[in-house]
Amino acid sequence: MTVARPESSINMRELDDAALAGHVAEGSSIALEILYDRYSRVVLSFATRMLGDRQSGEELLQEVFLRAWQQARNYSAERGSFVTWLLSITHNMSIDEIRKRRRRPQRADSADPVLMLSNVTDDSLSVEQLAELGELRQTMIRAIHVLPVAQRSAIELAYYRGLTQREIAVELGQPLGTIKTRMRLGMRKLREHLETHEVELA
Amino acid sequence: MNSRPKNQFEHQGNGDGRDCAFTLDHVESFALDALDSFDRGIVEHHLRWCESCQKEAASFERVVRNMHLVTQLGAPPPVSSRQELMRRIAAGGEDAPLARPQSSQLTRQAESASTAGSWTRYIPVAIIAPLALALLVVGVWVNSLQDDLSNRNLELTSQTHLNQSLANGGQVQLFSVEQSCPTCRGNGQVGVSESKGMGMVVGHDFDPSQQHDVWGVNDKGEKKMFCELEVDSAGAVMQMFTFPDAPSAFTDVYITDENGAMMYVSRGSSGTNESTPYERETPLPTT
Repeated sequence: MTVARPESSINMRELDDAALAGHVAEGSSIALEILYDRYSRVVLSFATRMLGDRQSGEELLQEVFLRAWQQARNYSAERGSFVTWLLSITHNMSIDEIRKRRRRPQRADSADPVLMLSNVTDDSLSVEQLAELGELRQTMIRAIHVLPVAQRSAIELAYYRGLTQREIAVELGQPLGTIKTRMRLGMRKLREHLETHEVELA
Repeated sequence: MNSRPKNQFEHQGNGDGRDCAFTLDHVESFALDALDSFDRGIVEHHLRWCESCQKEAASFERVVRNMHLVTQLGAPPPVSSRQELMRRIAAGGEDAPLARPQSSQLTRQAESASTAGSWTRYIPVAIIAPLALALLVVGVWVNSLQDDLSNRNLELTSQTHLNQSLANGGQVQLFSVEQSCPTCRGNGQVGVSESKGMGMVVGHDFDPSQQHDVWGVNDKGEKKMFCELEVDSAGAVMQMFTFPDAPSAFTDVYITDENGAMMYVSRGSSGTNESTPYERETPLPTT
């Protein structure tokens, strides 16, 4: 395997994400390093949130960027931002890991990601953090926290734990039809909220 | 709205969108990847040809994608993590970037050409259906002679009787079993008599180690099971069943196995691609 090594990364640091992804696709490890510097913290935070502990998050972080390295050619800027693509990879690989864990004995020290996430509120975020999140993230956070708890829980169990509707019904001890309704209503409210705020979806 | 021929069993649901009922009831959960394999398969199959439902699915997938962004930032990763990543890449132990899949424009053109005017191929089907069904029964019977001649003779007698019954009045329609996934096994035909509310599966190459069921989704989006298939040790099936409701009420029919593999019962010849797979903007997890 040949890894392209441009003479200098100074100019590369001025490139936008899509351009850097193009260089990664051509085998530039420097471009990958730059993208890592930009987004490793976000990816690690998300992976930690999904998996429930930082050690697992750090392990997944490496695998996510390796996946990005291998599949950079699949990224299309027309479909959304690079960070959204990267976080999609993170989400999918996290769900893979969560489903593997479900098939083997649980670690005694593993946190419940849903419980952890349910405790995340706007109050827990500082002004600086909120500014850092950006308008889209703030809108999304508000949308999620506007949801009734029952609808939010159903969506979170699917999203963060990779459970199916049937599994969620068993987990919560509710009829399957109730879970379907909660999920449907919750997702429609999220979409409506985003559209109402005229958010440019990535 | 779609490029597919009319729904199965002459259901006229395209105009009022009733045939979209199941997908529209499940599209939010589909975007969240919260459907079991059977329901997901139904939705995926519907999305292959229904543009309006594709738009609906894409709108919810955008919501899911934005949920990724709701992350409370934690501490940055340790420097050693970055060094380790670059060491692994530089050492060449990790695969190089993969080549982008080539656009299958020619394939798509070919598919488009085969789809254009595809309704014409159904005219002969209606005409020769009883004859084709009889040939299939005989064909399966001939192939099975080596197994047990006496048993097959009995089955042939039975199925011929069924065929004569179904063909009465020219009411029999034939549908092919279409493999909807790489792991799907099974080919053959399903004959349906609308007036008698009966059907018959004549198939081969099914996995004899699996339990197979025949299901339908009606115009209200409800799933109903028709029967469990009895697959012999050679993977062959000859079995009749009764529709729980009028066949015309069912917009889609499937044959499933225990692993969630799903064969779609379609009009037209077996193996024909009438549409292209729905492609998620963000691929699903691998497991």
